[in-house]
Amino acid sequence: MKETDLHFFIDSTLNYFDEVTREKAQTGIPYIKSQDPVVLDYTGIIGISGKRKGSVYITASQDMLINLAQLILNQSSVSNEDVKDLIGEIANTISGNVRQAYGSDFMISVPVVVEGHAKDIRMPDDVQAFVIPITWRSFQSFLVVCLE
Amino acid sequence: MDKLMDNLTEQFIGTAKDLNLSTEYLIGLLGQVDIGLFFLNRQGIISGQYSASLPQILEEENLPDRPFLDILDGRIPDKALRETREYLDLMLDREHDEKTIDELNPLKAIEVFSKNESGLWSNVKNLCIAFRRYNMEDTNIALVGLIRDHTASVELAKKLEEFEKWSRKQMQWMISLLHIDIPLLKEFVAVIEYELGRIDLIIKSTQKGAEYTAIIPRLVRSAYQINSSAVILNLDFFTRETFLFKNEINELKNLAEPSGHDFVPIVMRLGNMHSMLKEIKDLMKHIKGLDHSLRTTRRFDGGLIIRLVENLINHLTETTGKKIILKYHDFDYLGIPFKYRQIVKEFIIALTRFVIEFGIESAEKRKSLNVNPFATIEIASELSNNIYTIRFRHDGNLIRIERILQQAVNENYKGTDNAPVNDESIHPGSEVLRLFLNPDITMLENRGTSEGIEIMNDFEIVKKKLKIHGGRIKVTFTSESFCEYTITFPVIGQSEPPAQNSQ
Repeated sequence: MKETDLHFFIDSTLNYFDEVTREKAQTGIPYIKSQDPVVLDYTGIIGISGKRKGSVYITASQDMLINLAQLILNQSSVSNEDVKDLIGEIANTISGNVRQAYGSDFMISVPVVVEGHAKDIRMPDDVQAFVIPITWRSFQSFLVVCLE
Repeated sequence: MDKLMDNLTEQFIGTAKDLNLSTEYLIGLLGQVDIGLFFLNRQGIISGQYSASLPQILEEENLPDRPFLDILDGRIPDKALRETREYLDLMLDREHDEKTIDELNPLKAIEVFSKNESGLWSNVKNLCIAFRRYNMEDTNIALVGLIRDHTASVELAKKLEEFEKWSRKQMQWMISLLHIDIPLLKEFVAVIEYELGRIDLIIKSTQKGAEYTAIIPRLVRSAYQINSSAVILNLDFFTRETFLFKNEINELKNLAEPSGHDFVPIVMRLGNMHSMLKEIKDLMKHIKGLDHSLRTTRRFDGGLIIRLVENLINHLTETTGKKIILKYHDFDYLGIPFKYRQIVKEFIIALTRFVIEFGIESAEKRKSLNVNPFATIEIASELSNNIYTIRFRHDGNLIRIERILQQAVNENYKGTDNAPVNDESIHPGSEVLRLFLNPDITMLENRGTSEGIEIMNDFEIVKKKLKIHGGRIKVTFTSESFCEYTITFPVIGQSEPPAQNSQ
C-alpha cells in the first residue's frame, strides 16, 4: 500500500463528516494493526479487488452512530435499523469514493454490516493493515485499511 | 395429392426423428465437454442448451433465457462489462470482420467474482471467454460462446513469479547477512525489534493533537538507534529504509503543529521496516547453528569490535568526505574483562562517531593545512597495576580546545548539576571532557544537525554507564597533533574505586 492510498482514505472519511454533519472530524496518528482486535459496536466492511486486492472497514460505537443519525435525520430518537443503515452508508460513501478515485478497473463489493461487538475482523495475514483513529465530537471510531 | 401428403408426412417424421437424434446427440455431446459451451441469440440471451460444466464454471444455476451480460454484472469491473457490451454488438453486426474485432474482446483473460448469501466475495476465477459467429440469420443461435477456466494455471504462474522475485531478494539479503557475525546479528535484531516496538507504542498511545510535537524527539531517538545499528553492520538494504525513515521524522520537526496526516509517511515506512525485520528473522532461521550459539568463544569475539569500527568509519567517511586510517595493533579486545566489553564497545563506537563528526577535518581542509589528508584514529589497550586502560586518540583539529574554552567562557558556561565545576577530585582535563561530553553545549547544537545531538545523547548514556561500572574517563593532549581519550577500569575482583576519583 502506498502513502497516497492512506491519505486518500483519510480524506475520504473526513470529507464525509464535513459534508454530512458540517462538523469537522479529526484523525489521530495511523498505526499498524497488530493482533489486537479493532472493533466497536457496529462495523461496515467493503471488499476491494481487481488490480489490487484488500478490504476496508469502518467501526464505530453505538453512541456515536446514534448522535450522527440524530443529526442527519433531525430526530431525537433513532432506531437500531437507522444505526445499521448509517454505518452501511458511511462504508458505501467510502466505497463510492474508492470507485471514483481508483477507476473502473477495481471491483468494490457491496458493504456488509456487522452488528454487535464482534471478536475481531480478520484481515489477510500477508498484507499489512493500517488503523486510522477518527474523532468526531468526543466520539472515537476507527477506519481500518488493508490493501495490497 | 394423398400420396404427396403421405410422402411429406413420412419425410417430416423422418426429419423429426433425425432432429430428435441430433438433439439427443447434441445434448450428449454437451454433457461430455469440460469447457463451458453455450449459445447466444441476437439479443445476447443464453439458449436452453449448454454444456454441463457451464453452471459450475460460472457458478450460476439458472442460465437458460438469461442475458449473458446480466450474469457478469457485479462480478467483473464496470469497465470490462461496458467493453463486453460493445464487443458483442460488433460481433452481431456482420459488417465487421470477426478476426479483427476479436482483439476487442475484454473477456479473453478476466477475473470473475462470486458472492455468497451474505454478499461477501467467496471466490474468484480466471476465465477465458471467446465468441464465434454461428448463423447470423438464425434468431436462436447467433453466437457460440466458449469458456475455459484457467484459474489453476494463472494461480500457479502468479505464485511462480512471486516466488522468483522473493527468492532473488532473499538471496541478496542472505549474502549480506552471512557476512555478519552471529552475535552482532542477534544484537541487531534485538535492538531493531525493541525500537520498532517502542515507536509503535508511542504512536498508538498518542492520540491527542497536543501531544504530537512532544513525541517527535522520542521518535528521533529511536530512528537514530535503528539507523546506527544498521549502518554499523553495513546492511545496505536496511540502511536505505532507515535513512529515509530518519529523514521523514526530521521533517516533522519543522512543522509547527503536526497533524495525524503528517505522520502517514512515517507509519508507512515503519510498516516496511516491520516487514523487513520479519524477513530477516526468517532468513536467520536458515543460518545453521544460529540458535545454538548463544555465547560465542573468546577467540571469535576478538575481531568483532574492530570490524564494527571499520564499518562505521567506512560509512561515515563516505558521507562526510573525510579520510581516516585506523590503527589498532596495540588493541587487545580479548584482554578486556568480559563484563566491561559491552561498555568498551559502546564507548569506542560513540567516540568514533563523535570524533569523525566534530573532531576530524575533511581531506581537503587537512591538505590546505599541510597535514596528511588521511587522519589517524588509534585504539590501544593495556593492563597494568590492576587497572585496565583503553586509549582512543586522533589527530584531528576541527575543535580546538582553546576555542571551546573561550566560547564556554563567553557563554558564561557554569557546568551542570551533576558535574560540579569546582570539585577538586576532578583530575586535569575533566573540564574539557565535560565540555565535550555535555549535551547542553550550545555550540554543538548550533551546528544544526540532529545527528550531532544524538551523538551527544549517546555520550551521555555511555558516561552514565561508565560510572556504574566504576570506570573513569579523561582527556589528554599528547602533542599539538593528537587528542587522546582514556577510560580505565579496575580489573575484576577489585572493589569499587574510591568515590572521590569517580567520573
